[in-house]
Amino acid sequence: MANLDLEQLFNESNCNINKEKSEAERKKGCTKKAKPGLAAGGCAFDGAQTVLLPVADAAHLVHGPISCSGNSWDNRGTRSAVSQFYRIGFTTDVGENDVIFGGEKKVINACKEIKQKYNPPAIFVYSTCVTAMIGDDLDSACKKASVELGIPVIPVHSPGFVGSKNLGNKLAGRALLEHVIGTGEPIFTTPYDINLIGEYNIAGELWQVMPIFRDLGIRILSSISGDSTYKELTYAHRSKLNVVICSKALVSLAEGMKQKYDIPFIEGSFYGMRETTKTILSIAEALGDEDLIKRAKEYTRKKEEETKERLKPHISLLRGKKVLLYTGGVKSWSMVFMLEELEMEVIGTSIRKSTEKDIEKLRHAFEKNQKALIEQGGAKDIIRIMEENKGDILLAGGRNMYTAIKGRYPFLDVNQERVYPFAGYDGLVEIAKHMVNTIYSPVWKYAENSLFMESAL
Amino acid sequence: MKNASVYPLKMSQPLGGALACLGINKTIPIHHGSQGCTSFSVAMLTRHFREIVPIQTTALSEIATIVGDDINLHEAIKNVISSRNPEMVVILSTGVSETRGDDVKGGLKRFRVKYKDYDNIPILFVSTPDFKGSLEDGFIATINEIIENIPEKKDKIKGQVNVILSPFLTAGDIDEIREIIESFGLKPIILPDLSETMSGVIDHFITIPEGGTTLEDIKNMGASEFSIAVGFGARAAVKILYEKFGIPFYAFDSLMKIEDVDRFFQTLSLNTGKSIPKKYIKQRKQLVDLMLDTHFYYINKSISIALEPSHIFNIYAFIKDNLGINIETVVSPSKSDILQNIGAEQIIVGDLEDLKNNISKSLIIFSNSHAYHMAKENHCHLIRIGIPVFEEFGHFLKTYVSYKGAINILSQVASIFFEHDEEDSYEPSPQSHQFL
Repeated sequence: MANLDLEQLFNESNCNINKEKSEAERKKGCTKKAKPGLAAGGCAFDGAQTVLLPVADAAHLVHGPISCSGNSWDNRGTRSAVSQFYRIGFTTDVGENDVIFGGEKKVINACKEIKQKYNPPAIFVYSTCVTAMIGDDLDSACKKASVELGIPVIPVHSPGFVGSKNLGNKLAGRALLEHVIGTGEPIFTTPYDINLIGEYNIAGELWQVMPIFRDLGIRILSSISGDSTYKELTYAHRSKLNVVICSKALVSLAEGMKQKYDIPFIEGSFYGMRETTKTILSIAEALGDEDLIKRAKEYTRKKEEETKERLKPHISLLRGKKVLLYTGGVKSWSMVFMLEELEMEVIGTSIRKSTEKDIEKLRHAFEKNQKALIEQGGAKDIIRIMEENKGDILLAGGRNMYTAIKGRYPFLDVNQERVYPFAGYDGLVEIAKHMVNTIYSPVWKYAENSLFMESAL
Repeated sequence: MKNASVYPLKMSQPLGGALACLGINKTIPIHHGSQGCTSFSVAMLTRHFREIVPIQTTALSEIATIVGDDINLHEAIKNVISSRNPEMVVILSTGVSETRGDDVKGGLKRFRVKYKDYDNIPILFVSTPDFKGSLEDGFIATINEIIENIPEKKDKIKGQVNVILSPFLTAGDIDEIREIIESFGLKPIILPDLSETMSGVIDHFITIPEGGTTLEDIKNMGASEFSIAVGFGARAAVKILYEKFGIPFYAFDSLMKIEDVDRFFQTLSLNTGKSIPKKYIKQRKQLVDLMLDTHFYYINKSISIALEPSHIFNIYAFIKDNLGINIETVVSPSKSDILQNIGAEQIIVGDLEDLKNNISKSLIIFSNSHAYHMAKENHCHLIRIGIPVFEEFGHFLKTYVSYKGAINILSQVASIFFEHDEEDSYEPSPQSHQFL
């Protein structure tokens, strides 16, 4: 645990969230402590895996008892065309003896077995609550294994109890910065090389926006980390620009790469037409190539026109429908704009993880209805707001899916576990189709009439 | 001994403990650990059941983890009681709290002294560290703790029967068992009853299991005429009821094997003096006829099974003893005495990698969704069963016990065998067209 310098992780002067916080607030860090008996979120280990598991050809060894891996392996929506290897769960499955005598040897031997049987290019080893508590020296174990096996073995210090998923994202970013990025070289570079940070290719969303970059001649040097290989992460430091996608947590990584390698970064989002265009244009501008900027402007204009045409039949069905958005961070407003592009009425959005500036943006958008900003709450509040406002559809994470279904509300999963991709221009058309599908499904007629049998004679 | 478990089959004790509580009305399980322990369990069970899964956590954070006091435990219990209004609270330890060496029993005593308002709500503690045992062990330990503490000594209630379940039973199974027992005019108390809470019956938003075995029912278990244990994992609990209240019990390690199902019906018949309803006699005939029709195709076939130990035995006994099909490999995530009663070429306590490496002869695997990796690589058929099952919608409504369950399984198995033999069992001879 001595390795966890948490304060340093919270010290992100350039992070948009932190810039807008007061000094005292900033010191408190980004993670709110979960309330016993009222908590619902994942842990830091969960968050670390969100970031690193998409490295598809690497082995991911979880050093902990069976809860950490056995209950969770192969449960993520991240997709890869490179390899399916990341879907194999590896764990030291720490037992009673290991708790008493320590588990470092087990880590080294486990790495040997993995190398011998599966020969991966690298192994990420995650520490968890129990192995951190018993004082296993993960750094030294990984170093020994790495020397012996001749492949990188990367320690990821991610005991669940240190904080939320968000903090885990940062811990993973730190492992990449310290042990991976800068250890390799690309075959060649171009002036149009960028890294995407925080796009995990959930349900294939990276693939949805890839064609845009291809069409414009922008190369994604390293994807951190959707559909990536271990090798491509090692040379991420040769990129010209970092683009942080919808992930406040990994601003720390972009910040670190700026300090270490002088790579500038911008933040962006691929949710909705306007945001996608904005992100593409700012990438072009940041790369500073006049011709690229011109082409990007022309390209995005054409794409928007096309998209508007494709959206027409769906908008006629969605216009004026009332939607409640229950998600976190940037999505809480970037998706609001996305829904407004579909001419829907947003009756509320959660601002749990948003900055003052984000909230200001939203206040403006919701001038007439300040109640629409949901400070906190859970499933109960979702149901209440839907009832009070006669909502037509709920957009939230999979965890709230059954809240909605039990409340008999149309629902769309827009978080981690979703099955369908909603990014970029195509994604907007896709999400419109999906909302039409649930709102107009004949099933609601039967769901509302569940008392039929009980009232029959 | 392997150092790296690959493609884990094992799930944790705290998950199994919580699963037991989900079938009990207004009972909330609280994991005493960090919040990840709970969120992984919730995520997995939500995907499996496609229902709201109410489990809470003491959310140990770094400071709490080092200091080691009652604060998180007491806060969690207080918050859960005031926000969800439970009739019973079950604290399940995790690797985190056990490694910290928490004195939870002492902590609960101190809670009782401090908070008198909650005296009427039973708060139980079960030790379920995830560095020991597996889902089934946590489930059994939780049921046993409930049985040790809740049932009361009462006058016999005529016709009332205790039915204690192992963790593998689906809602379809539970409803079948209930229907059979009721058809003899008996009133079963089923513990736990996931068919009421996790099978789609809930049609409104909940924060605590609704339906399922009630606390009142569990108290009344001390007054039953006899107890039935379904699956090996339920044996200990019916023994406790016998020791405490002298209630006789009947244990069914398999409720799919014909002899055991026959004995199940005979037990009910002898205890009530009623004859077996025609419906079940008809089902038994249908099953035997199906066995006659299909037994030709069992030749040269092997099956492998990777599930929790009680579940393995339930299926194994039917496939091996009744159908006579060879069992190539059995993999269990944890040790269990029931494994000694299994006759397979290999019996391994291990993971799905072990399964992968030992199924060269098998055409069918019985295992959970994770085994699709093995099925794909070995070109064999996966019959999804156990926990978790993600891709087979409505799985939890299907029946795998009694004659009906055996018919269901045999229908799947024999169809796979038949299709395989028709298509792949012979190569056309190069000479076969010579005389045309």
